[in-house]
Amino acid sequence: MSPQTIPLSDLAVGTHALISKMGDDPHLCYLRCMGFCPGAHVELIRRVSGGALSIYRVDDADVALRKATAAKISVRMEG
Amino acid sequence: MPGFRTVAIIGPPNVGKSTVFNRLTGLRQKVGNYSGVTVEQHEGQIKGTRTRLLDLPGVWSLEGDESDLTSEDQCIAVRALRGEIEGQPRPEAVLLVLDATQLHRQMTLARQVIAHKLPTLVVVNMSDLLAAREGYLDPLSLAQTLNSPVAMVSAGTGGGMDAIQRFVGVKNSAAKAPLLPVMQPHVEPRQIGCPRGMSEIENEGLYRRPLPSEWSRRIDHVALHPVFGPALFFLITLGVFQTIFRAAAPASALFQKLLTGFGVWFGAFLPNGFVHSLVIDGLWTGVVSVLTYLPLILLLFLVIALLEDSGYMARAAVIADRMMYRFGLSGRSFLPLLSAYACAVPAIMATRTISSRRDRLTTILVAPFMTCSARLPLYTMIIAAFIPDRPVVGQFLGLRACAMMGLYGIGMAAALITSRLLHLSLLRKDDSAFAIELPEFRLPLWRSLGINLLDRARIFVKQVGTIILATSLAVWVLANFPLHHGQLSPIGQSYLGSIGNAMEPALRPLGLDRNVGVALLTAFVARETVVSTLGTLYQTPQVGVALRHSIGLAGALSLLVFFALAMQCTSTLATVKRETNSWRWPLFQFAYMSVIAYTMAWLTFRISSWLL
Repeated sequence: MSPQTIPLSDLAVGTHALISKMGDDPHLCYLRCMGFCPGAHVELIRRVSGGALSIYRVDDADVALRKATAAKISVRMEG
Repeated sequence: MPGFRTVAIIGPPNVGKSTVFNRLTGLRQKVGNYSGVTVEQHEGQIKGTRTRLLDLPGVWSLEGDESDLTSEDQCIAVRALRGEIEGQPRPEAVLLVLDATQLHRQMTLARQVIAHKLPTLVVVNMSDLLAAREGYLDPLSLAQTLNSPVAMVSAGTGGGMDAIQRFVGVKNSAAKAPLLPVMQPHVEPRQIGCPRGMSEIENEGLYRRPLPSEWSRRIDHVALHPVFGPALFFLITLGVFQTIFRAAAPASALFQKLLTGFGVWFGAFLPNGFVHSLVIDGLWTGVVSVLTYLPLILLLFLVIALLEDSGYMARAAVIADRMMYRFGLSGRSFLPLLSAYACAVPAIMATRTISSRRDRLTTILVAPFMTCSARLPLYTMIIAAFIPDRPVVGQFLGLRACAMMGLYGIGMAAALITSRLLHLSLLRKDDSAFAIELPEFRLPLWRSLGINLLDRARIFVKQVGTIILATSLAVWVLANFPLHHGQLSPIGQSYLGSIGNAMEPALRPLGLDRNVGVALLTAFVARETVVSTLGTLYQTPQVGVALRHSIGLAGALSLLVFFALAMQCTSTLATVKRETNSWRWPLFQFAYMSVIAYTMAWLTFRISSWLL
């Protein structure tokens, strides 16, 4: 069974995933430098502002992303 | 070892580059725990050498297409490194500053910098924090991996700085231990794509990441909690204002008493007449009325610096993002807009850290609406003269504090509504990516805070000694000349009186008199001079009392609203011109803000005259 791929924005709080694909948006370049790369582990720590923003932990660092931004990143559920 | 002529400091945001810079040059440089504090390139001279040191803005990467470069900071850093900035030589060596606790994420940049083939010292900063949180780094392995010498440093406490001094060629440096050697210069650094460069030495046990800061995460449980987070945000903002006015008002009053006392004492030595009038009524009154606000302004900067240094500012940006987004801005605009409370000029410069051009332009255009500290002298004076000191919520919140918050509110509302309008019209927005890193909370470095405040005080006093002194002089001359039979002319027959008379038809609908009109004109040179000009014009230091007799409460309210909304700062206009590279935006901004200010002041006067 192939692991399920979902947008990062759909991750549930407290779950881990592996980044499988980054969108084509040139702005995502910046995220790549912050550790959002294919193959990186990412965990959703908490949602802020009623879900408009989420805090992700990637490479031991906490980064806040807007929902629309996180939707451009695909992840594969771990485990 | 001969020193280099020019050395550049480069590294990711928020790793302590400016702290290293301060340590090496002794020059004052603002240091904060928030990505993007160094908004333009700063330079200084390394103590004990003739070496110029360039402090470049923080960057995550040197690669990227200029059209989508994450921000202008990155452009500046890359161009400076390549020697493409006009009038500036290419650096001969590089200090690459990395954060010991985040090394695993900074290797991409490290390799890109080293690929420029300049002599590079890898400065691993915050190595004390790495050790404190049970992390470990074998510097030799890092030197081998990067093919560059490595220095372990704690710039906050000054540990390890001698290694950097040795690298840049400071004579009499205390450093005895040799730098970790540069390995095999003919070997190219190993190329990698994504920043997984530490994995090899991590796997070999030569780098152990530090344990996450538990208490930092615990604070985040509260600071970013759906309910407590915004509540804390609101409390902190409220606390900032209460502290400023509770603590600063008595200090300012005492300061004013001392300065006025000095003027009286000094005036006794001056001959009566022309000289006395010029020195005491003209210059000293003008200077005192502004200098009085030094304690207040310093306190405001202290609070902003504390929030920045501790790491809370990034959380505040996250909390504020939702609201800012609704108005066409992003949470990243929060720091520039918040620092606009101190002064719009550094705020506009700080917008360089905003990656989206539209967000940046919007922030630049609305920042002057925020209540800068130069507006405070007039606000404080009018509130003290017209608003009774009555408690509103027990001892915690007084009517005066409410009035002041109201004025801050007017500025902020104007800023948000304007950015919404811009978002819907001129600056339709692309949905740019928003990402903000949350640095770990840390205790502010008192040394940096002290340097920051000293710097602010110096800039403020310098401004008082130059622009404000000159304005006071000019106003005094205009208010006392031409001479009538060898005597100074009364204000009504002076040049200033004539200008005021000419302006009167425009002022009457706002309930203002010509003295206020003249004072508003001088505000273009420096806003904080309004109170001193009024003092000169009404010929009293008790400006509030004079205003009560001349324009009354309705006029005072209209003046406050006009002053809150008008674009009356030539330095801001000049900064906007520089940052947008055209006169179009500052002129647009000036026209827009003037129309809004006039209309709102007129409405305020009409409504309050009707109500009162």
